[in-house]
Amino acid sequence: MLNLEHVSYSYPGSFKPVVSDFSMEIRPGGIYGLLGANGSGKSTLLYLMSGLLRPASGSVTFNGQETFKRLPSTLTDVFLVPEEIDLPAVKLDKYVALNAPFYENFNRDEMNRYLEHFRLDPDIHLGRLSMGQRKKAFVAFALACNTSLLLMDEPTNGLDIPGKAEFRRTIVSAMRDDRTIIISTHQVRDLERVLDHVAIIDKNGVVLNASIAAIQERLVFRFTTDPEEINGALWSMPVPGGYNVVRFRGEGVEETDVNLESLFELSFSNPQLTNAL
Amino acid sequence: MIDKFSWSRVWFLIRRYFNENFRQLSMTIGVIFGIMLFFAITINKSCSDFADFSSVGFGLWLILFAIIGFSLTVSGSLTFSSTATKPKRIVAMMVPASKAEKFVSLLLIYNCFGTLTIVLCAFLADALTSLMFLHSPFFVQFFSFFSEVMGKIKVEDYGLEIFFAIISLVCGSLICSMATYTLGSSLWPKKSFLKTFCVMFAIQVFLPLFIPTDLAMRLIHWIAETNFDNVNIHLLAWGGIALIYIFSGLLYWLAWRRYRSTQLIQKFMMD
Repeated sequence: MLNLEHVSYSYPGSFKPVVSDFSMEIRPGGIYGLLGANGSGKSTLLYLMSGLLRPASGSVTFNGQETFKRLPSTLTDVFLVPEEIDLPAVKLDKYVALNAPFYENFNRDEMNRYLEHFRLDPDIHLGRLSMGQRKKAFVAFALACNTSLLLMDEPTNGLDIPGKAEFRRTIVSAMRDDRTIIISTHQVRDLERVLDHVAIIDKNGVVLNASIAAIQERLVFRFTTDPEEINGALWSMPVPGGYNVVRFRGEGVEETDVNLESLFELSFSNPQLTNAL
Repeated sequence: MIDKFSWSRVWFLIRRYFNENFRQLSMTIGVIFGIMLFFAITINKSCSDFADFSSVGFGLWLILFAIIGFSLTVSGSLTFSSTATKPKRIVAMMVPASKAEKFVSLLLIYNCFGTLTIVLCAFLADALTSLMFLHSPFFVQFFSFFSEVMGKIKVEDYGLEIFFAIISLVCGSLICSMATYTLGSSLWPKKSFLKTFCVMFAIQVFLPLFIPTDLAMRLIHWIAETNFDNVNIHLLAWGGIALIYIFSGLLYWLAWRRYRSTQLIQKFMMD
């Protein structure tokens, strides 16, 4: 579906590449988390995926078409929710009437349902909303466009605590087998229990690229107050009141939720192991 | 969805642009109309007889023409203002329409609709002022004066040709300046008018310095020595006018090349 092959990119006037020889294949279906530290090139990768940037070398293709060409047939099936959203000061109804005709699979009923999830009135004026509310309205529109590929850059930035929970619920409810959502974030806690797949990146490329199911099969993530449990752990970190520990999952050991923060740290401290995943 | 050029998508883009930027566009038109009305009133107070060359009014009427020209260049420099900031650029670039459709829609909005609006504003300002001062509208006076002058000039009965040549020259110059500022807008969507103006000014000041002296001298000699009796003056005039249109086309083509290769982050757009 989406293929990045040996992609390199540097900003104009800079010789230092932001993305260097990056390769990745995204298959249809599932929610991908694109995680990385600040400046690791997450947003740049999303821009390359959506065709907003042209790779200096390598190629980014969506269903066989190079994305930088930004053909209508590609753009109608790819939607990008940027970190900073620019919405016109018009009523939501008008915004939908003006923008929905570009998206063949747009569904107004679905949009109303998503707005309901976000506790937003369909009769709102976009110019009179807070930043968080604007983001929610835009995410609702983006999901209702029913594009095969939905890219989101730091979507939980600017959302309040209930808003983040609403966001998780809405995303999960909007998932279908033929839809792929790629969420780039550094706020990993906001996406726990939402992701199907995790890709952790740094400036040199992919550090970890694995499905949540594969990670759960191999590793267990625990919080413990017993310092003895640190011994023999793959990774541990003192946290208020105890330790976060990652271990290999032995036979008969119960599956645990993936602690993305611990996985993130582990992937950098033990790249060989994470590659094996 | 078809990837080839679609006029229905162009229409959707124009409709979307007008509706989403209604307030900003109305304010811009309002300001242009206000400036024109102000000058039209000032002109009408100073002089009521356009045909009087010696009066101050004639010069002031020329100012009104200059304002029309200035407004057209401003309109041209706003062509790609929708890509002035990064969030706006993302929205504009991600709309499912081809680059050519987006380019054509912006040209139609700022170059064609812009020109019509500016000319209409000038007519309206003039008509309104004329009602206030009970003079016949300036444009009516202007055209009657112009046709009267044309009637008097009998250069081998080429009066009508001169009329069309002047009209073509004025229109060509306006299109050319609009195309220049449109190209400027594609290079610097932010503060485009000021930047393009500075570049044009710098070119006019510094370009002559780069022309080799001997080449300039040879050109002057050639003009001085040429016997223009043998030159087809009509061909020369129309050729010159045609060159203006060809040059304008070239500027639009360069603007298209620049727009086509637009990326979210690139030189001159580091926002």
